[in-house]
Amino acid sequence: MRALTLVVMLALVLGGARDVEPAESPAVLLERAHQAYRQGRFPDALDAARRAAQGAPRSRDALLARGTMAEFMGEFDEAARAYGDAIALAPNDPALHYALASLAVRLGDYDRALRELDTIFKSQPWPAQLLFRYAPASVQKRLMATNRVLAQLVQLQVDILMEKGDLGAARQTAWRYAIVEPGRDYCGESKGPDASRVSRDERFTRLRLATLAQPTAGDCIWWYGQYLTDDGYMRLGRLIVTEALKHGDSEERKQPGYRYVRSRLAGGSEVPKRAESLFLAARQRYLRDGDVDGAERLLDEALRVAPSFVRPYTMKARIAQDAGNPDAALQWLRRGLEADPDSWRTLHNLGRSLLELERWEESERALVKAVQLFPEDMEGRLRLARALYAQGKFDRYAAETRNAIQIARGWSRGSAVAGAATFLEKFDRWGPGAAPPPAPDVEPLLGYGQD
Amino acid sequence: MGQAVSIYGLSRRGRAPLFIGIAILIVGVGLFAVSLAPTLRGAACGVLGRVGIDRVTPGCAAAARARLAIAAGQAAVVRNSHRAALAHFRAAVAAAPDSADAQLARGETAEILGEYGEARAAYGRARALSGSFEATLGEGELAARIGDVETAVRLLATATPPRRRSATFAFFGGAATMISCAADQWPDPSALWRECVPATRRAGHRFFIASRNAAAQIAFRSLVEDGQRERALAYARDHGWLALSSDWCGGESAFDFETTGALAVLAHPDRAGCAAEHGIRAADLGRVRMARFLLQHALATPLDPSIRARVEHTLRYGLPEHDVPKLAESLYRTASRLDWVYRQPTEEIGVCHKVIAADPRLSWPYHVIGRDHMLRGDHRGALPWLEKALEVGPRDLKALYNYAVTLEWLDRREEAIAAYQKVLAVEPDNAKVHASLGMAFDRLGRHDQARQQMELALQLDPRQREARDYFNHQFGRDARGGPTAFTAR
Repeated sequence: MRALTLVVMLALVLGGARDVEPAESPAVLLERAHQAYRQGRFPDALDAARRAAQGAPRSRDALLARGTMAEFMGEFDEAARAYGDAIALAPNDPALHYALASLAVRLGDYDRALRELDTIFKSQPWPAQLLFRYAPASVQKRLMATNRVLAQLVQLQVDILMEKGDLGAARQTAWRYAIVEPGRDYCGESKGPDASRVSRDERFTRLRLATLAQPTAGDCIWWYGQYLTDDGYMRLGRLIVTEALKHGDSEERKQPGYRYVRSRLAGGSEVPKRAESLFLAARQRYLRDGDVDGAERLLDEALRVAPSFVRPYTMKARIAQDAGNPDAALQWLRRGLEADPDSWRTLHNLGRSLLELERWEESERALVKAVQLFPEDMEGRLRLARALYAQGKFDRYAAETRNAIQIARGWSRGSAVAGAATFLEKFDRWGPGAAPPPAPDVEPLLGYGQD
Repeated sequence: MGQAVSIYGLSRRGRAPLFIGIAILIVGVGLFAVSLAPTLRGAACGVLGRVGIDRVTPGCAAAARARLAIAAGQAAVVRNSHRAALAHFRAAVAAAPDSADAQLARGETAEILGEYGEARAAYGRARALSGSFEATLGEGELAARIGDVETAVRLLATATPPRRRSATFAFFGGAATMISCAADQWPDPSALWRECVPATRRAGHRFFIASRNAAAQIAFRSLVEDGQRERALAYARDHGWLALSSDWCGGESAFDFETTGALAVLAHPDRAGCAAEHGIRAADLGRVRMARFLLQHALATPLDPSIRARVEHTLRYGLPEHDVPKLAESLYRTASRLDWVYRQPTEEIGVCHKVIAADPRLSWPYHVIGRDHMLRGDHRGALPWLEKALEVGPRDLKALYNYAVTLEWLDRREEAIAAYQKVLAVEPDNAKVHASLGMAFDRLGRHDQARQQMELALQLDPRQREARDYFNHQFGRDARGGPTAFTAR
């Protein structure tokens, strides 16, 4: 009997041991979060960071990790709560102040961001503060070279001032802290013979420096604005393109710029920064992380904040299209056009979707307007040509195709339209055939890509 | 009085005796210089050279020509034209065979260019003429490079630098440490005293010891590489190195990493595992013999599983399967230096052909020649060299990778993919190869597989540039990385 009791007790103990696995410690979860983050598994990283912070609600590291990862994923309210809890635990922690500054920039609270940066500067050792405040630019250059944290903070400060709309103060700060050097032709460097060999990032950096150092370098400022717009920074893109339009020659030469503001920057109307940041995070969550639900939630939030911001509509349409629901995609694109009737990208995508559904007339209407807004839209012209060809409007088909080929050759994209050129040659010789003309993807020009 | 101090004030008649006097003086000094021993003559001509009359002094004219040729050679070295410099130094030696400076310069430049025979002869002559530390070190080191261990040990035993030179070396080493430390610690003045001063003192001491033992380290490594383990240990003991540190596995060492690793293996054989990293580094640098010595001893001791795997991998794939003659190993390193340090690919290829002559079974020089063709865009020319490299060294993963890249350039994409996959079968954690395979899939239109490989590459190395560029091109810059467009980059 005693033996039986012992067996039963052992079974209970062992069974119990199997059922109750040791809980993962916050430290382990935190390490897992960091590892997942380093490896680019961001949803896993945020999940682990959340659990770590829940397990250790008074751990500065866990709260900071949760905040950072939530901010990265576009979960801004969650990030604000985590940072708030963390700063209550460690009010003088520079890393937390930096995190708060970063979040404030994403939410458009630029004054708050500048205050947080100032708090960090004040937390530096006094010799550094003394030099930082009073040393001449030649000393600042060395100071920035030896103190990377300080250099990063100054760069962020310059960006914030630019985004706030105070380009003058941004330029002054850039001079003061030797980010730009007097007499150096940054704009020339970004256009020089080696410019085509440098990476996109390097070119972006050169154009940014040109914008800061050379207020009259209208063409470089204009390109910088286009880079920003491509990357989805609507607010700064608008400010910089508008700045570029203050320079240059005649009103006639500025027409493409005005057209750009109209067709790519919502006519110059302001997009709330929070909506822009939500869209930027959502786009990457969908494309890179494959997180459809998370992306859609952020896009919905962006549309709640800014119903007239067109890019979330286009993105929603893309998600619907990828999910095999073209009708929903069309609906989203139409809603986008209600919000911004002159959005070139929305019109271009609508025309493309309608073309795939062989709704030729509707496609033609959308694409005609798209190429009016952006005459160098090679891809749009070739698709328009296809819609025209399908309707038997052969003269206009030939004219649009010739236009597209000429533009493509002028922009070194001749190889992309080679098929269309061959088709046109055959058409010219023998007339229309049974197969439709090709409508290839053509790498877009600067300022018209990435969305 | 004016006539006494200035010849310019003299009449034409008055100048003649003065010029005759100067000519007699020059001839007299010249004859005297000719009669002197070479070393003294060099010094005498040097003095005359300072006042610019050595070229017209009999007995010093050759030395003057040599001096000019040496200067031209040095200028060529500064211009990174070592072949032209060698021609100048040869001319200097031809003009003044007794000039130790010319011989030494010729030896150093010939060694850089892989002309070991010429270098050894020049160093030997320089040593015979001057007995200087540099000449002895040069000749001893070269003997070690070609595998003449006994000569190396004998010569290097006598090569100790002047104490003042070691002190200068120590001063500059300490100063560099102070500057580097101060750059980090300057905001906190007390840390300058607390951290930087002791670090400077320690660094100065280390540099001094390293300088005093520079030649002895070469001899020691030669003995180790030659398999004379007991003799190497005795050599280290005789030089007092074993007393310098009780633990060669940890702490700061005054010696280079190979000597430190070998001392760790010899002094603490039961803890030879600590030399594993040194061995892997030596293998990366092409030090075949030293790497094999360190890695094999490390493998014989208990090791962390991940380090053991790396050691085994390096022994199997990072080193040739056969014993490489010392001459071939040294020539290969000379070729590498010509590429990485001097950026002289043509000279590098010339030396690679010498490596092939010294050891036709070593795959590395074939690979280097193939890579050179690749860099010049001659992928068709690269292919046979890479095939040869893989024929003699089928485990040469670097050659296999470049073979795959070359196949891709030649539009043989399926074969390229197969070659990349072979590399990945051995090195599944190589992010660069995953990215290259991803690009190959992408070019073939196999986009899902491309993305899969790129994701793997980024998981293994979040900074892998090709994979990052791929995703940035596909999806735009990831704006989540920073609060602004610039900081996100």
